[in-house]
Amino acid sequence: MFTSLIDGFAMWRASSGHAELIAKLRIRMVFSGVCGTVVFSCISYRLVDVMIVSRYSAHDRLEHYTEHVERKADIVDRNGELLATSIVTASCYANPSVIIDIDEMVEKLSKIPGMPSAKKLRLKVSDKSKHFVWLSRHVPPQIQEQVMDLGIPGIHFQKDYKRIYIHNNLFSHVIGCSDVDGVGVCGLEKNFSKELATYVNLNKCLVTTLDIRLQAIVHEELSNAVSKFKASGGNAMLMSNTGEILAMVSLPDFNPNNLGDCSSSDMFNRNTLGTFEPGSVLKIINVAIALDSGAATLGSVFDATEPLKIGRFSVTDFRGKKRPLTLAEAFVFSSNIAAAKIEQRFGTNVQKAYMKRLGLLDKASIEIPEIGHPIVPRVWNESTAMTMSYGYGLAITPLMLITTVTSILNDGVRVTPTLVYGKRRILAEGERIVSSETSRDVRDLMRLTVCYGTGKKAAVEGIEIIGKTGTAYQAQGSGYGAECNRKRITTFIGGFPKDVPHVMLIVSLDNPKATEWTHGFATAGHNVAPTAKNIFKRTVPLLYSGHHDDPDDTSLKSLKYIKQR
Amino acid sequence: MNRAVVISLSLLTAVGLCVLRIKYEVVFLRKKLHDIEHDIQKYQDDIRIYSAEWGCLNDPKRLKALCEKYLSGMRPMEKNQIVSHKKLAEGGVSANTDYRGAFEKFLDESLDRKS
Repeated sequence: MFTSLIDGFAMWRASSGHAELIAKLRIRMVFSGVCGTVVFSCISYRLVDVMIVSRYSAHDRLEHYTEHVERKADIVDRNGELLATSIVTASCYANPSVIIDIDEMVEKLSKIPGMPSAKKLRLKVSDKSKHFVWLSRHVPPQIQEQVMDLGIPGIHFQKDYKRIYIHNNLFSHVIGCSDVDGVGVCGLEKNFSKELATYVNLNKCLVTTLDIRLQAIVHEELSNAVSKFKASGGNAMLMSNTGEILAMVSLPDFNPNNLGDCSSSDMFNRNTLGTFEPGSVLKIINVAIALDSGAATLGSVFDATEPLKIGRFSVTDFRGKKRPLTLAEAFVFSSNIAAAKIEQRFGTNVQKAYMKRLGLLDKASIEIPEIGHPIVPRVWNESTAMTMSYGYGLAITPLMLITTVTSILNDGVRVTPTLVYGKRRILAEGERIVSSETSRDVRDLMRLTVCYGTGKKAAVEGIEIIGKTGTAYQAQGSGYGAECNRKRITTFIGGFPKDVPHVMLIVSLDNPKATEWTHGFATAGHNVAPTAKNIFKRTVPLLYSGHHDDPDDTSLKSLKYIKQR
Repeated sequence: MNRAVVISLSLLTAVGLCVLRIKYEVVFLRKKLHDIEHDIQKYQDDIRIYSAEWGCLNDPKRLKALCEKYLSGMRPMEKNQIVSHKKLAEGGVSANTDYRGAFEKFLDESLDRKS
């Protein structure tokens, strides 16, 4: 058509005497036509290629998928020891649309150990319209080689990253774990999910305040205690007086590398989630309130001869002295009767105000998502306040308890717990919650408890340990269960050295049993106190290489108020 | 007129060739950069695997087991094994403590084990 048009035009122009011009014009038009045809052919070819031939290739889908499977930064302890990292692996996928013989593929692949069963494989590749389906994630190199040797069309491997936890159970509750795609499920992994993805591009890692040596010691000693005293579980934490968590162990624990084998109870972090009535360790708070508010002094006397009646209940002492006790004696020998009478001195409103100021009514703040709320009594009357004075009626987490006690002992200045190394440096200086004198008196009393009181079994020769024990019955339904069927929680909280407790420790055992070794007792002084001793004995030389003179307890101000040691 | 056309076409061809050359150089450099980035990534991945292996070798349980096996005569230092200069000067160290004898005994035991 194009040529005939030109010919027609040429004939017309020839008749008018412009033959030469027409010839030139013809050449130009033919050249332009050819160029245009070539260009449009190329564009058409590319359109067909993009829209039909290469559409939804498995590769494109895989690239889209792998955007979400990113590397994550390492997590290390305060000394740079690796705790969690991502290592490169290979994951096996199939493109069912190009598999020629599904039966043959299923038969061959299912015979390789580590690959899915024949039934599962058939189910995965049954839909031929699919272009991408995972067959097995994080395949070991030996299995990868076996699969590749089969040479089955449509079976491929893709580079992948697997999150691994070097020390298995050791840091399970703190570091947490990730799912198969590397997404944080719990612990620091969940809380710092975005930061870990960012840090990896900056060649940074997440430095925690934890110390692998201390964590290993605490884990070992707590495991020994749980098995020795046949406890249902236990928890322990080491914290510095700057708020840095040095070790955090909760038992039972789990292996974050193998989440398939763990139950929800294994994943429960007792340190931050477990709320329970702490028992006599709360007398530290009671005495601190009494001294700080000026309601009592170390020498104030409280009659603990007879049980104290509160409505239809009566407050009694476990192996009590049955005589008037000074405040110092009441604390050291852990008298419930005297504790309730001390509370009566300062009253409910003062107690409530101090509890709020000490942070016992609000949930703790730390960089893991598993944090329990305290269970505060709805009706805070006189009888509730009295029971609270010796550790019942208020359920708190061990993290809250150690934070509050550390704050009191840290010269009365508030401490904020943290798991991130260096964070404490950017925190503003803590506010004062009790006076310096109160802090010193409480430290003295805790030292005397270890020397002469219920915490004797926590004493380590040559080390100035301070501490307080607490044994509480666990709430069961509306009460504490029948006398013969009561479950206990025993707790020890203490630190070292007395004057500036750089290291604080809390140890709890869930329902420890009386054994021959404890002479038939299941109280804190017989199970958690010796456990604390073992931990102190092993951790203090690691933390303090220098020499400390033997403690001189005769200079303690409160000692003169202890009549019978 | 014809000369101007020839010069323009020559310039156009020259510029075209330059652009083509630059393009291929860019493609080559981009490939080189990609290869380097790939190598860096590979080395980083390898380092991570070695670090993980090193971490496993440093596992406290493993180290403890090795210490118990090969250093059975040694134990962690305890507080009462350290004496301050002040205490030494005051003569506060127990006369019964035979540090020299204890050290020599330890050396003998170590030599016996090695032999």
